Amino acid sequence: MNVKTLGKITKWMCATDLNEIIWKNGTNKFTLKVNSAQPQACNVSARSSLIPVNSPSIGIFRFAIRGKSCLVKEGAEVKKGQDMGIIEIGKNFKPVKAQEAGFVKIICIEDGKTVEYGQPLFFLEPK
Amino acid sequence: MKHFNKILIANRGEIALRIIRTLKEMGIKSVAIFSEADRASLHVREANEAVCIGPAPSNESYLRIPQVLAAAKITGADAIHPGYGFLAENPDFSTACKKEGIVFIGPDAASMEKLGHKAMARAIAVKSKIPITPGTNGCISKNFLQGAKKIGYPLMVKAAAGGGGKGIRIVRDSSQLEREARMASAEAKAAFGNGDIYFEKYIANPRHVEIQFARDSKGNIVAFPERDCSIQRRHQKLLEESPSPAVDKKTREKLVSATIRLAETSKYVGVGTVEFLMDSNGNFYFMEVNTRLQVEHPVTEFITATDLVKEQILIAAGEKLSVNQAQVSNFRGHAIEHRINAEDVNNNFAPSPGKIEEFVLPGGQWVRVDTHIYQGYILPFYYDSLLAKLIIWGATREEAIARSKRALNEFFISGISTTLGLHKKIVNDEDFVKSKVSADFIERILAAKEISA
Repeated sequence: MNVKTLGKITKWMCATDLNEIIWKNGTNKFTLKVNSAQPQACNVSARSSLIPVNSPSIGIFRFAIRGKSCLVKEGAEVKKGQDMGIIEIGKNFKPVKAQEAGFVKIICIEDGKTVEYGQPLFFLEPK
Repeated sequence: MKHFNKILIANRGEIALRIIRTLKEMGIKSVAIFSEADRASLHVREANEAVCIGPAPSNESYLRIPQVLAAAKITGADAIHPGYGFLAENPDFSTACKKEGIVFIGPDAASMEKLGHKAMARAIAVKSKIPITPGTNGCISKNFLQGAKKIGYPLMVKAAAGGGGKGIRIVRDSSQLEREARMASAEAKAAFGNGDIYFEKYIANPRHVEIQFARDSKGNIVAFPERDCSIQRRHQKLLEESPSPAVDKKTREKLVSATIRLAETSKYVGVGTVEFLMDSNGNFYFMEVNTRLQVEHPVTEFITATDLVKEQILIAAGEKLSVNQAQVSNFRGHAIEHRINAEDVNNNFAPSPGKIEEFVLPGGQWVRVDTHIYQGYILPFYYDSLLAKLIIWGATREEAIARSKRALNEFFISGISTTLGLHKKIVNDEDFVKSKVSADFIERILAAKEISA
């Protein structure tokens, strides 16, 4: 293996989160270790492309005001700013609005359930 | 306790934790509410249940009546304890709780309005034959010069709806009066939503003494020995003690009976405090009534072996007070409270939020610390800067001061600036030890030397 190829492999390795690789080809063998001064902080945040729609208040969640039907279904398209439900706070109502346009991927709330401020209610898949 | 099964605490910080502790001891379940900035606070951890009611700013969380009531409904709480500050002295909140069938642990809206409005409270004091400082009869909105003439200078312009040292202006002569009065009114309107002001004579070098009282719905009244809150900076209390070193037995009896008269006249139900100003000859004047539990209530608890939060709950449940006048009059020893704030003393007491790197609590005999913080906690910058209350008991005032010195030296906080250093200076000051405290006491201590936190 020439130095140029080795350089390419090293460069590629740095681009991944691998710490060590062992390559074997018959009797040929080499081991590469990334020499990072500090062990990398475990920064594994569950990366998701989905956008949460959080509750704007503590209260009781309703998909729609009584007498109106609900258009939010799994897979349905929503526009930015579209009402996705309401929160009942005593006699007051606060709309739940889609922060972005997208498709409804997950609904994690049921009608009439109590919610906290900031609790995720829906997850949208961006367009 | 058959009346309450679960109580929601409409507050945060040390006082929320303080209330939860009593609830646990009484076998009542607790519900904490919190803003997004307080998720890591101890009051959230210690409560049986906790709900997030809004974002960090208090006007979008702790001050929102519908949200607080929704939290109580959702969790099935049958009563709400408001603590101090936030909604504690808001008559609308008291009324709203009642409408929802939730017991508000505090006085009813009518008492709150009567006694919380400073000018109305003065009228009740007169009716109860309590001396008041010369001042205007009720509020004043015009003819300021004429109103001031009868009182004499220097005088104070005060906001009727004010409190906590806010909305007070001192006027030294007639040339400033008009301007100051108008500004005070505009300020009061902006800060409290009520622009009513009144004038009161300014007493030079007063001592600030106050009497805690409790009255149940059956009409039983207990008035506790006085607290001395003379050590203040810009009308904010820093250190309180009980009993007052400036009050003798005879004066104490007068203060107690004045307070009992006021509680009887106003038919107040709950725990409250009557504040007095006392001049150097021991004459006292009615100042105002606080219709809530106060920050400095633990000094009273220490010398009378009373749990004031428990008494509040008993009163709210329609039960009898568990203490009587003879018990509290026969108090024992001396107590001091130090308010430790997250403030930079050398930078004009600027708030000092941030991460608590190290936190070592004092302990040992007769030392109590009420705090919601711990090592690693990040102090949010949205709320007031009270970090911890260090409360000390001693058989005598001398013993209490010696113990204060010892405990303050054990207390160690790093990562943020605190007022610990200032408290060390106070307890080591000769004038404080001799209890010769004048209005400029703190200014003099601050001028003496740089203070290390």
